[in-house]
Amino acid sequence: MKKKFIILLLITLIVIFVCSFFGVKNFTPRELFEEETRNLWLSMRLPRIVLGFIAGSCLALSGMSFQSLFRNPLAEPFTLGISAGATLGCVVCVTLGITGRILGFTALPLFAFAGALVSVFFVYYLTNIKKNFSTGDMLLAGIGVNFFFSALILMLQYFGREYNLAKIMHWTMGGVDIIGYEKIIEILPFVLIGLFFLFKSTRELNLLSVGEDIAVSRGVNVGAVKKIIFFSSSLMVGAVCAVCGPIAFVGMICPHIMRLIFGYDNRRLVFACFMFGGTFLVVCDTLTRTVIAPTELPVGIITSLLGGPFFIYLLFKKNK
Amino acid sequence: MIAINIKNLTFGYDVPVLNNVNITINDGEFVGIIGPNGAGKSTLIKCICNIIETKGSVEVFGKPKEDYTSKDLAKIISYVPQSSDRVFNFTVKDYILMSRYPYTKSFASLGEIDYEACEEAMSVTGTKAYQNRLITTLSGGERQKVAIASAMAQKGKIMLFDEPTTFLDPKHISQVMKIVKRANENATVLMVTHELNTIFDCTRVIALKGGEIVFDDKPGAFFENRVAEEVFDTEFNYIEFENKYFIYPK
Repeated sequence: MKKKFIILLLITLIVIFVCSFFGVKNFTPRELFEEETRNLWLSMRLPRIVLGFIAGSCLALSGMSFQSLFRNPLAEPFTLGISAGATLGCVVCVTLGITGRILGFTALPLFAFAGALVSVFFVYYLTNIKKNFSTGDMLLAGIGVNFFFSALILMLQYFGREYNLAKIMHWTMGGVDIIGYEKIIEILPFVLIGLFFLFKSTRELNLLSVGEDIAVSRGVNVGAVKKIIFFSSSLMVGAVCAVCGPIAFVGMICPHIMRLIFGYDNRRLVFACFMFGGTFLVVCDTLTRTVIAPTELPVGIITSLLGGPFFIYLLFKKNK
Repeated sequence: MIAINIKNLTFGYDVPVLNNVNITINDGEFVGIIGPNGAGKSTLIKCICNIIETKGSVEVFGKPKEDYTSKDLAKIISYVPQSSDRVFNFTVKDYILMSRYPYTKSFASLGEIDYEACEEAMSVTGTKAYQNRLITTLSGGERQKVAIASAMAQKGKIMLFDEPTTFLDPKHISQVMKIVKRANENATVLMVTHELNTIFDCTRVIALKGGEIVFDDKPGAFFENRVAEEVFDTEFNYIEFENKYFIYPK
């Protein structure tokens, strides 16, 4: 197992390093010795790679935890409506023209976090209202929340200003194209807090993935753990959405691929998803920069193109 | 010493599943819980280990179960659920080791004592041979033994079994019952069962019907007094062999 992790780590480092040289403008390692090119690489390419890695890791880890929590391979922030909630939070913030800081935090990630929490609240309490709510019902509830929030986003776009409309449109397609590190630093506290709690909850997630009855009887405070997972995932997904918009299916694809290699133990999977999720999104983003260069595609389009068929494949596999 | 003291236990949404149940179980007893489908048997043991919240009180070794933390209660009570399909796949050893959760802290690795408990549980249940196999590759009987090993590794003084022999072939029924009896050497055992011929191994039988206790005595009395007819609303044939009764529905 250690060998596998070392290989994954090496692949992650190599892929990230290589990807950082490809884009609308390709770099060569030798060019980095020139100050002008190095500054360009450091201020435009590297932040994008770092953001892509953080976003991919956060989405993959949220997907991993939701799949264990709900014992459903199709669960992830996008299918549960959490990304839509976070996006709605962002759209509200932009439409209302709120900038600046609230309690020391930038307004946008806070609104995204609040939106994500609202959708989690919806999905969670819908499942608690009805007796014997299955995990399948939970996903349907998520789809309902998705539709509802998407409609609200459209409505805000419809009544919004033209300037905001273009901004929101570009955003809702999902992308990691940023300049500088400012936005990364803004979301870092949210991401770090979320990561800490998710890494802390891996043993509880293992027991929950076997069944709630088992988890309770083995001493897990299921109610508290659920809240921690919802809270930390909302923090991370909210932060990612605030900067990148909703990026679909990373949270579904990556944990599945990692389970094939590292097994189902969340204590191991959490490291694997962290590395692979980040690498996966960095690669997807590199594709968006290079496939039809000099034009760039939003990364959300690539992940959805990959994720849609994967979702259907899982659905068929599950029904079999 | 009283292991479990249940007072006025009531549970149900529209129709009561358990209705004002009172039971006292002494340390070391092996109690068989029987009754028709929907009588409240599984609900009763789920109430004891906190899976279901109910009205009434449950005291565990003289202390209300609410006064224990989740982890502390899990150190005392182990639970073996009814067999079910598992979506996520763990190896047998990893699954059994997960039961050491109440003894470990966040971010801490498992210690030697945890691995010893796992080894002991595997050797008692005969699951060591397939410790590195994935649970989904096991047969129903093997899975059930793994489920019991997992609960045994928890080292509880009280063990709750929910229909441990359901869906098993005679060989595995025999093996599982031997393991349950072995568990009773170190723990108080409560076993929900539909296999009426297994209750002769118990020291006491409680029959539930419509959420109420309709019989509570030694297993011999259950057969001699022909209680099964009343509990299950059906007629039975009884065969006496070597001072034991064997029973099957007509």
